Amino acid sequence: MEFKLTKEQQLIQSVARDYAEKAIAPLIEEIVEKNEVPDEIIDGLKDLDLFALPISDEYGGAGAGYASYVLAEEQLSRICPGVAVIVSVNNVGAAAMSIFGTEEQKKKYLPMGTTGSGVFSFAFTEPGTGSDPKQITATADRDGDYYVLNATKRFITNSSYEGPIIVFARDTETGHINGYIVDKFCEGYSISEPWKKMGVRGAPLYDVYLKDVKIPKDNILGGPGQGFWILKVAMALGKIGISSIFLGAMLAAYEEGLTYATAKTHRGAPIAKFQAIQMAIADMFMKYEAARWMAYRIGYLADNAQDKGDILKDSAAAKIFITETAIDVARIALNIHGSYGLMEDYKISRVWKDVIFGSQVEGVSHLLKVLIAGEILKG
Amino acid sequence: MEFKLTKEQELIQKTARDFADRSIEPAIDHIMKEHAIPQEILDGMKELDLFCLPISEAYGGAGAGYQSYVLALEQIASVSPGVAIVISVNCFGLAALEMFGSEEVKKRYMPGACTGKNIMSIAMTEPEGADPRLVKTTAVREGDEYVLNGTKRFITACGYEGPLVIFARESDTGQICGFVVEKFCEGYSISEPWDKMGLPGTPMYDVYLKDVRIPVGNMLGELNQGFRILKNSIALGKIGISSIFLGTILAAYEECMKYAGERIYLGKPLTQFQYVQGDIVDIAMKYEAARWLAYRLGYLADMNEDKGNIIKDSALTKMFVTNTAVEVARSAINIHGSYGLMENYKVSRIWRDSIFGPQTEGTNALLRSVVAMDILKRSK
Repeated sequence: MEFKLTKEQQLIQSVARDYAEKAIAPLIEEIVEKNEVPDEIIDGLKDLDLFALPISDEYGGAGAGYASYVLAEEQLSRICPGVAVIVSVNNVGAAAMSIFGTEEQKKKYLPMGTTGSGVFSFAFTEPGTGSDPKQITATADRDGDYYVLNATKRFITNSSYEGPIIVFARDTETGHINGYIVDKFCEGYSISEPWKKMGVRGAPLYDVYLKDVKIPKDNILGGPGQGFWILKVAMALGKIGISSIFLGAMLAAYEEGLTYATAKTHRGAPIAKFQAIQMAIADMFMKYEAARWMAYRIGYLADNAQDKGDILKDSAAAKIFITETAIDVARIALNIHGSYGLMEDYKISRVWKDVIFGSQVEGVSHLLKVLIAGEILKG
Repeated sequence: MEFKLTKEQELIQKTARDFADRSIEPAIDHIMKEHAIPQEILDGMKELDLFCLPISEAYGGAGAGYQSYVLALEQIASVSPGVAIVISVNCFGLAALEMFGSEEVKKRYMPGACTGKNIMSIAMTEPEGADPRLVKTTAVREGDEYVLNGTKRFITACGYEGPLVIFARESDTGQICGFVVEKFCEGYSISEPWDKMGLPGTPMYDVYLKDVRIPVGNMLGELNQGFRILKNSIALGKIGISSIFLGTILAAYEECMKYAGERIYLGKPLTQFQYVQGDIVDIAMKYEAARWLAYRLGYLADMNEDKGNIIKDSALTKMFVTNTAVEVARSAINIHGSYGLMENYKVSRIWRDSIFGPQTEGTNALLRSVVAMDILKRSK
């Protein structure tokens, strides 16, 4: 066992932290108001190799692994979870392609999500599916050398950016669920107005509509019938992203609580002098430490798993623990702020709106518990 | 970062578990009833080197480090936290001797507690409380000897022969120092054991020293090092407690899996009900969170020669693990329904044992302030 960051990991952590503080923090109000991340931030992340840390450098990624990815995402999210969500969804799409794509697909598409001007999307959820892939109604009809796709996909991140989107649909001939690679904004691709979401601003969610979208028959990811396997891998990787992001939100809450407690005075002394507040500070820090090593561990597990689907149980358990703990910590930090915590002048009010996303997305906590129980009971 | 046990660590973990299952488990009823650990269990652990894992081989220890110690204590405590407590008290007494004792003290006292018949105790708390500033026990210098007088409270393993590290106020300087006393020497006596409700096998006593004479060389460290010794001991004690109550969480998890798999309700095992699944997953998830904090603490102890550096981490780990053990015991009882209240079911024992964690080695309320003060000092 070794509970210590390597020099490289420390460097990546500090590059991400510096970038977030210097380049993202000054724009945070604009990001929140417009629910949009300025392009120069995404370009800046790409320049620093922070946009595709786990993707192989052969295709423009940083080849730095998931342990580093967790560290960087935590730091980005500490300032702006929206930016970190864009990075995470891009990674899920790009990683699925790295793992399952043909050489040709990887050469063509991966650079778009690593160094080029695109951002990956990943589209599985539909209005009627919830989180159950068996309910997918999107269709792929074989037509000679092409597939014709028709679908409505819900809550899709990054779908307003150029780049590839991996769409899960049912092959009407075989009944298989497959992942199909589509170029966003091709003919027949359109998106809804963004959902009016209350937090994690900067990463808007849209519904995506595919109407008779024609793609070459080779644009299936992996072989036919591998859709469920790809989804399992993507779910595991998505949970690494969410765990890191809400670890960052928790860190932000802790820091805000601590800063406020040392600055605000009551009866002539900083409120940090009161034991009740000290308890709150200690609890926040303790919870952060517990959450942190769970998150770092799933980064490590991902780096050491041949099949990333194997870490689904661990990533789901970490995701539940971290996202629920982020809410606890934000609650404590808000409490330290008294009524000021309700005012948008204070960052903690934004963190409060952000933290509740963690437990709902990438599988709501209840559902994940049933999934984990299934794995445990299998033995 | 490397979240993986070495081969040696895996072996020690397995050795501890096997010993606990084969030798301690069959004696549990005896331990509960007699409130004492059979001698052959203590001898067996000494033979397997489980009794002094982190202590250097030069003095009879296993030299296996604190990570292995955490792993072994967890497994032993999953069967009997009482037995694990005896090991942990012995180890933290030994560690104090190893770090601060003179060569002569180490050679005289350590081998007996590592491989021989002795078991160490360590005595800080007094009837007034655990704050070292309140220590009333005195050590008066008389020529080449110190004369000790005082009362110490809630002391473990003091019914066994062996050395006792006792904290007392040195008469010339007024400072707190650690002294090594041989238990059952002239002037040493103990109370009746406290009637404690859990952790059977490790009775706690009050210890009385009345004009106990020891050579001046039995003082640990230098005159001004008392607080440093205490800080080290406090950190090491919390490693023991964290590991032991991690074992409690593990035991609760295992009991629930067993019970929920066997118990039939409305024609199906309890594991088929989602509300039970949810409880089991919560326990498994909390175990994971607690586990890596505890293992990390072992790692930090191995990396820090001065264990006083890890006080904050040991305090927050101890708080987290012991609070979690109580929560988990609560859900484990819940899964068992009324059966959980019956002594035929191990979970009833887990319930009583789990509450010891937050209370001992610094109540968690106190430790929160230790952690908070450290954070505030650093944030200035």
